[in-house]
Amino acid sequence: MAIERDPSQTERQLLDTIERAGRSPAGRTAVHLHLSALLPGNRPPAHLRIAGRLFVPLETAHHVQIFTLSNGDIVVLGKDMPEDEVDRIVHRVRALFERDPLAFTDFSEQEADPFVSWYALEVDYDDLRATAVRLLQDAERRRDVQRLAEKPPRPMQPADLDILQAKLSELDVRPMLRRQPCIRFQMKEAQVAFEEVFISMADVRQALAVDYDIFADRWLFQDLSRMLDGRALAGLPETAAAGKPDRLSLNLNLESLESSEYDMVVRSLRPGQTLIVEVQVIDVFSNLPAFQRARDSLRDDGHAILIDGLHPAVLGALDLGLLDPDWVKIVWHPELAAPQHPRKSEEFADLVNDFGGERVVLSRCDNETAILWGMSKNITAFQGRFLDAILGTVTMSKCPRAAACTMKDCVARRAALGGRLRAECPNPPGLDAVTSFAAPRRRV
Amino acid sequence: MQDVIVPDQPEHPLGAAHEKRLLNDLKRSASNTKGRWAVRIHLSRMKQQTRPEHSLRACEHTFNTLVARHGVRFYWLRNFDFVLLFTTLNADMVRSALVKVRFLFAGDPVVADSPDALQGVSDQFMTWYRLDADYDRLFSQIQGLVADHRRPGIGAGVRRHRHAGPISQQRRGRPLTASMLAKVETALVSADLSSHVRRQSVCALVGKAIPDPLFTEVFVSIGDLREAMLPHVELSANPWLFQYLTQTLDRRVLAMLTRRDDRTLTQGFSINLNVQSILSEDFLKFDDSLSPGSHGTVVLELRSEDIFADLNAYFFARDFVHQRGYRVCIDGLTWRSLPFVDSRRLGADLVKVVWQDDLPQILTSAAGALAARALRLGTSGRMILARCDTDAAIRWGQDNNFTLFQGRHIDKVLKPLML
Repeated sequence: MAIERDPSQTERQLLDTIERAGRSPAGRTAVHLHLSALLPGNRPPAHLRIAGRLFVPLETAHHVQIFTLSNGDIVVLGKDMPEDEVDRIVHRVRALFERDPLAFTDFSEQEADPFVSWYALEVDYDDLRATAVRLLQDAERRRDVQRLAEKPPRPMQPADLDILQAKLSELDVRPMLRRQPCIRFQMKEAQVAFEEVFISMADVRQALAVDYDIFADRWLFQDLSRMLDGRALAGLPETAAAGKPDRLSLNLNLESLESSEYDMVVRSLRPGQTLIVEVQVIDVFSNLPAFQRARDSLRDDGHAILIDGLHPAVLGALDLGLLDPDWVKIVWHPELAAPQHPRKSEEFADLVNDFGGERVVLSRCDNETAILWGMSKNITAFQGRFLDAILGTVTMSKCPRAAACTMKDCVARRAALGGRLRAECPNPPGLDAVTSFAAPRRRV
Repeated sequence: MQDVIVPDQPEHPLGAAHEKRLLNDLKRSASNTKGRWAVRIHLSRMKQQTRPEHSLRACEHTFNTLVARHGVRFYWLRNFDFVLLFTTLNADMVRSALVKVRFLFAGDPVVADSPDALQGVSDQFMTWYRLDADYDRLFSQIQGLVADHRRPGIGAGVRRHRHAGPISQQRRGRPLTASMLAKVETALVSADLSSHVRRQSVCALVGKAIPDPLFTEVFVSIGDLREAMLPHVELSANPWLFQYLTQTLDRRVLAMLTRRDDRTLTQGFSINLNVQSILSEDFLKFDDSLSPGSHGTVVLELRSEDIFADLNAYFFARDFVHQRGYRVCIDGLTWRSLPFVDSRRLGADLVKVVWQDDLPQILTSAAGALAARALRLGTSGRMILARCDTDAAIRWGQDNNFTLFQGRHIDKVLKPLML
């Protein structure tokens, strides 16, 4: 039987080592990097592992001890450490995480550096020990919570994908179709610019009793998405709410535009109704001519193409104007709004202007900060849970039968294209009734 | 007409040749369009299951007599559509043959009942062209198809490992599926990759001086590997699963280099990697195994689609490997992708541009203008012209801002010098 390692073991070792070092503190130093305070998106385990590796040369050359803690923090402990060298490595780690506010926050003389703390054991022993005790307590608490929690699912393997694809071909995905509005803020009014339709992966996982992580590998998921495209497209024409919005967006692989299911969807559109096809940047760069052909032919037919899921940094790294999509969708990252972000705000606003602010959607806006930041960068179209909630609020305020519902219900029912969720609504037409509302005033 | 066996595959084996022939035939009849017709049957719009191999053969067979005795012309396109050229004289015979074809594929929704389809009204299944009115439309479509032949290896797969063997070999076989991939993954665990490992030098070449090797690319020959493990499978037909396979290969190559099976490879080499592989434990082990000071002589080759797929991960990986001293090369750029990849903005040290025989013509055409501009703006010592099979490629490269070259021609020149 495999013995599971206690995740708080490193913290315990750290405390032991510090207590032992405290008996002869002369010349001993400790450096604590607060990597656990990075934004969650910036500290995947692989990145933290690499940060720890940068200290390895010290270990061999200067008998320095390195502790990679279970929360992601790193503590380096040694006697007569070459401080310049340690400082240089700390700088390197900081440079690796330069896109996170933790690394670039400007702190004054009196304040502590939020990224790193230095301890000279001769004077700071008590502080250091207290820190180590706190770290151990936190680790033990986390361990206890983890033991009760479900284990994180294992990553999907090719063999899983094979079985999943077979099961998927028999699955009725219609009740799993969801929509999310993209909302355009104009001077006085906010309007639904289009509704994105997608399959709820949570529902798919539940229906097929999938106990592994479908998203673990980008390429395997991309292959799965080819099949999902076909299923979603096949289910779409029959789904009630699909006929309502003037513009409908669909996440597709470029190759799916050649499918008969896609043709069926196009034929099922009512006059005046158009499509926006959302494609991934991997798909675009894997087959540029196919992208260019698809873009032109969609445009010829009055539809549009959108490049989805772009990190904001893409705007600076790639001339999107050359690809010339009708829209791009940029994913909101909380660090964007941090003051003193090294990527200057004006610069980003310029990039948005160069491409055309009206063609940019800021997605995954979970809070008002995202919207305000986007508006200050000349972005006017937004998508995300925060907007779903606003739309839910407006929907309820206009619904005569809203008294029986909660806002959470209303948002979930509006998101469903059909099936049980939508049927639960006491006033289903009300779910599609609101297509515009008064815009929040723009703050500059 | 030849009786060709059409295996279940992503591209019709006669398609490329027929497309060229069709284009030529259209050119010749440009001034003589009166009473001439064409019809394109969109088998590609059908599901692959509803157009099995035997139906394709039956379909072609339907037109045998018309082709042999009545001058009707039949062309397969690469995507399994086919085109017929005929005149008003034999229009009725073509119509009746098309009835059979519609019947043959009646199981597919694309072949819906449309009463006028055989009277020259286009529908989902067939598009009609009256050449005296629609000649330009058909001509430009076919021209577009033929223009695509220039792309070396369709899809992302072959672009990466440029040494995958002749195109004719790659185009054979079934597409890679998840179940095959699972088997290959298992087989790779125990397979001896060393026999599939190839090397090719990247050299500085200025004027008539002899090539000066800069570093040696170490790569797994996908062509050989495919022949050994999946002889009937077309890897590039499924770019996503192929990418997954390259990640497995990354790990194997890193492990091989870490073990230092090959003692000649201690420095001055390059390897192909995925961004995610750089962030893996295997890479860290490899990094440990290099002797201090040799990191700067190792080049990591990454592909643009992989970089743009997760730019944040790329920036992190790039900063990390730069700190360790490695150099980063953006691999496999074609004239199409070149304009989008600004090595300065991406902070890469080198870019590798793929040579193809018609590159000079493309770059002087309107379609290639952006690529030509990108080459002019590129930094001479940072661009590698790869796949140079001929002296002409080198000469062109030297006239166009390149000083670094890779390819079979360089290998030939180098060989006597290495002895």
